[in-house]
Amino acid sequence: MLLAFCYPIFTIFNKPKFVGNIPLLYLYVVIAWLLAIILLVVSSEIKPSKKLQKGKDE
Amino acid sequence: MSNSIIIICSLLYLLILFGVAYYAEHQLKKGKSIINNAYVYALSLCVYCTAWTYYGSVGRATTNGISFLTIYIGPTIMAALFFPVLRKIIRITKAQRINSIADFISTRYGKNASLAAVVSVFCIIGVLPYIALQLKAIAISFDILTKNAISGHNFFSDNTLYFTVFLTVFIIIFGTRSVDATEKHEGLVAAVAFESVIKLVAFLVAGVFVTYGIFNGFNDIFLKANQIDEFKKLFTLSGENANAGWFSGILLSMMAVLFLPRQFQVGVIENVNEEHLKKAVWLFPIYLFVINIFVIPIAFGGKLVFQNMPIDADTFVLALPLHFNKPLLSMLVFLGGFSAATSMIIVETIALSTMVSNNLVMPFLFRQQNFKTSIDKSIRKTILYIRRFSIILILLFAYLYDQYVAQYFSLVSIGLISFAGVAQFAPAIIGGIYWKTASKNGALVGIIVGFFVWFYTLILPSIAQAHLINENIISNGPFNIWWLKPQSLFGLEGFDSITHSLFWSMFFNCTAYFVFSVYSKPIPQEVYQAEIFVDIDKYNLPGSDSIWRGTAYMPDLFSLLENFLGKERANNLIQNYAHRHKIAIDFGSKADPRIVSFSEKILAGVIGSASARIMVSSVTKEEELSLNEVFKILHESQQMIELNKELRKKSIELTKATEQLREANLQLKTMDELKDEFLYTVTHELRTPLTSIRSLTEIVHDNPDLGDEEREKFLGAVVKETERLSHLITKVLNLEKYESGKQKLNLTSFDMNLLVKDLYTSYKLVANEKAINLTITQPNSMLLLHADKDLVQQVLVNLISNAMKFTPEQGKIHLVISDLQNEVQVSIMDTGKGIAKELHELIFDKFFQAKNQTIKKPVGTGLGLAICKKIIEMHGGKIWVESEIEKGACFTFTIPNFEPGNTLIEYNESSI
Repeated sequence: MLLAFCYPIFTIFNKPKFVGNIPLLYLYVVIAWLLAIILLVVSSEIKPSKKLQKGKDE
Repeated sequence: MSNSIIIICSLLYLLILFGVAYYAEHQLKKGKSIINNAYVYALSLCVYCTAWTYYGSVGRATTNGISFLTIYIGPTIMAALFFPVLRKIIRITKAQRINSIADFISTRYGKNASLAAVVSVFCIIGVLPYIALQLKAIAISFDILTKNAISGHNFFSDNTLYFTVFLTVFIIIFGTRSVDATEKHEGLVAAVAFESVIKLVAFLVAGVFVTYGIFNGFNDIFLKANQIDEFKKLFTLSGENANAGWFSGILLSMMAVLFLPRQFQVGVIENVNEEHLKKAVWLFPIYLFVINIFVIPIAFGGKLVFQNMPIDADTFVLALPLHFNKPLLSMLVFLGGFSAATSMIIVETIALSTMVSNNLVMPFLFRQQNFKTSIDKSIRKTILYIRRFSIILILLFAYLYDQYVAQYFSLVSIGLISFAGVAQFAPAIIGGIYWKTASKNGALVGIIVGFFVWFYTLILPSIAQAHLINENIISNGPFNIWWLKPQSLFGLEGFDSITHSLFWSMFFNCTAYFVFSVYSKPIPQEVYQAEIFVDIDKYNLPGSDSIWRGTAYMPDLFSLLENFLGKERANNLIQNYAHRHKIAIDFGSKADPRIVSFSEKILAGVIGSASARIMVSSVTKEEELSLNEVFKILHESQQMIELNKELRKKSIELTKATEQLREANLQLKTMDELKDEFLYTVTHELRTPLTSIRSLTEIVHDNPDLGDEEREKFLGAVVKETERLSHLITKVLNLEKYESGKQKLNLTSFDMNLLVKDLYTSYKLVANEKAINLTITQPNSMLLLHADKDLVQQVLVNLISNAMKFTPEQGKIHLVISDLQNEVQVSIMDTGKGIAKELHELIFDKFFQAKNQTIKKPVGTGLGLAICKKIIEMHGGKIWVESEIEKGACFTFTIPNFEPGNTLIEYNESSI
C-alpha cells in the first residue's frame, strides 16, 4: 500500500496533466486512496475474525 | 455576527457536550456502555482530526497543493498494521494495566521511573504547542466570525480564556472521576465521538456550499484555477526533493496516529474490546477520506474569491460563508472547528495530566520518606487533586503559549513539529514489542538524542523565527560552524525543515537505540518485561505473571492497596485473584509472590508502573534475582503455559467427545423407542387379520349346518384377510431388504413415458368408476431411463393408488412427466384433503406412520411412502410433497438418468 503512494510509482502521475479538468496527480491519489480503503474493508472483515479467534484460542 | 450570539451558541454546544458525556456515564451506571461499540471506537480515533485538519489543511493546500494529504494517507496505511501492531499494544496495555504512553515505554524497559519521566516531559514539550494551536484556532475563528481584530492580550476581554476555563471544568468533571487511570472515561469518549460527527458534518456542509453553492462543482473550480498561473504549481508536487517531503509526511503521520498521546489514549487505553479494531481499520480511513474531499475546493475556491484580499488561508473555510453572507452556515462551521479543537484538547489534556501525576509528581513524592510514611486513605484524593491541578497547569501553559508564542507560527507548522516530536517514541515502542534485546539504556539514550536533534533542527529555528534568539545561529550555525546549521545539519540541504529534522532525529535516535541496546547489560526485570511484551500472547495467561521473590506480609500489602483503592475494592480484587489462581489467602501471614506481583499491577493502574514498583518495594523485602534465575522462572512459566494450553485443548476435546456421545445416546434411545413402536404396530396389524381369520374359521368349524352361501362368504373373508396379512408381511420384508441393502437394483433401460402411460391407462377405468378426472401430461419424445423398472413401477403404483384413495368423487388427479436434462421428474397431483406442512417430511418416515397408526388408523399399511422413498434414494433420486390442508397434494420424485444415450423419439400425442 505504501508503494502506491511513494516513489517511483507516485512520480508516474506527478505530471502537469489533466483528466477532464482534474489534475492527474489528484485523481490518482483519490483513486489509490479509495482502493486502499476497499482493500482494508475486504481484508479486515474477512481475515481478522479468524485471526482474533486464533489469538483467543492460543 | 455579535459576540453574545456566538458565545451563547458556543456555550449551548458545550452544554450539549456535557449532556452527551453525562448521558454516557448515566447509561454505564445502568450497565449499558455506549463506548463498547466499534463505531464509537472508530469515531473516537477521529480525534486525530483537530482544528489543524479543519482549518490548517486548507491553509496548507493553498501553498503546497495536495501535500497536506500525507497527514491522512499515512494513517490509512497504518490502519493496515492495526492488527499486528495496535492489537498487540492493546493486549500488552490491558495485561500490564498501563495508563499512558510514557507508562508503556517505562513498563517495557523494566518499569524504569527515569524513562517514564523523560517520556512524559518530552510529551509535554511536544504536545503543549499543539494544544495551544487548538486554542489559537478557536480564537482566530471567533475573531473572524465577529469581524474583530485578532484578540489582544487583555485576559478579561479574551474569549479564549473563558473557553479554556470552561474546558478545564469539563475535563476535571469527566476526566478525573476515578483514581484508577486505566478505567475508561465513558463520558469523555462518548463526547469525543459525538464531536467527530459534528466536525465532519460541518466541514462537509461548508465544502458542498463552496463547491456547488459558490462554484459549479469540482470541474468548475479546477477549470478556473487552471487559468491562473499561480495555481499551476499546486497541481503537482514540485521542488527538488518533493518526493522525499511527501514520503516523510506519510511516515510521520503513520507514527503520529499511534504515538500521539491522545491517539494512544483513545486507541489503546480507552479501547473496550479489541474486536472493535476490525471496524476501525476501515471506518477510520473512510472518515479521513471523507473529511478531506472538500479541502482542495475550499482552498482553491478561497484563493479565487479572495484573490486580492488579505485573508489568512487557514480561515477560508469560515471566511467564505461569511463573505457570501451565510450566518447560519458560518455558525455551523465555527462550531465544527470548535468541536475539532475541543475534542483534541480534552483527550490530550487527560493523557498529559495522567503522565504528569503518575510519572513526574508521584515518583518524586514516593521517594520522599516523609510523604511515604504519611500515606493513608487520603492518598486517593491527593492523586485526584494532583491530576486536576495538572489539567489546570497544562491548559494554563497552553493558553499562555497561544497568547505569547503561537502567534509567530502557522497552524500547520505547529502540528508538524508536534508530529516529529512524538515520532521519537516510535523506535522504543516498536522495537520494544518485537525485539527482546532492546534495552532501557537504548530506549533512554535514543529518545533523548532524538529529541535533542528534533529540538535543535525544528524548535530552535522556530524560536529564532519568533526573534527570541539570534537568527545568526540559524543562518550560519552556532559559533559560525557551517555543518552545525540547524536547518542543514552536516551539510544536508534541499529538504524541507520537517523532512530534514525527521531524517536526522530518527537517524540518531535509531542508531543510539540499537547500539546501546546491543552493548548494554539488561537488568533481570528488563529481561522479564521484554519477554512478556514481545511474546504477549504466550504470557497473557494465568500463572505467568510473577517473577517476584522475597518476603512480603499480607497486612502491609493489603493496607497499601486499601489506601489507594479503598477497602472493599482492594478486598474484592485480592479475593478474586486468589480464587482464580487457587491461592490460599491468610490476611495475617506472608503473601504469596503472585499476590505481590498482582498488587503491583493493580497499583500500576492507579499511579503508573514505576511508582507502583516504588510503593510495593516500600512494604516488601525483595530478593534480587540474577539473570539466570529470571530465565529459569521464564522457562518454568513457559512450561506451565504449555501445560495449561495442553490441558485446555484436552478439556475442549473431552467436552466435544462428551457432547457427541450424548447425541449418539439420544439418537439410540429415539431409534429404540421408534423400533418398539414399529414392532407394536406391525404385530397389531398382524393380529387384526389373524383375529378375523380365527373368528371366521371358528364360525365355519363350530357351525356345520351353515349354508353354502354363508360358508362361501366366510371363507371368502378368510382368503381376503390372509391376502392382507401376506401383503403386510411382504411390505415389511421389502422395507427390511431396502434398509439393510440386501435389495439389489436390476437396472435396465426402459421408456418412462410408456410406463407411466400404461399405468395411466389401467387406472383410468378405476378413476372413471370413482368419478375422478385422471389426466396426464408428458413430453413428445420417448424418455429412456436406466433404472429398476419393477421398483419404479412400484413407486408409481403406490403414489397413484394413494392419490385415488384420498381424492373424493368429482376430484382430479393429474400425472406430469418432465425431462430435466439429467433426470426424469414425475409429479402426481390430486385434489384430496391435503397434508399439513409440518408433516411433509415425516410422512416418508415409516416410524412416523407406524406411530400414528396408534392414534388414527389410515387406509393401508402405512409403509408405502417409506418404501417409495427408499426405492427413489436407491436410484440416487429425491422424493417430496407439496401440499396444504384442503388444497390437495402433489407428490414428486426425480430419478437421475445416467445413461448418456437416452434417445428421443417423437410421439404423436403429448397430452391426454
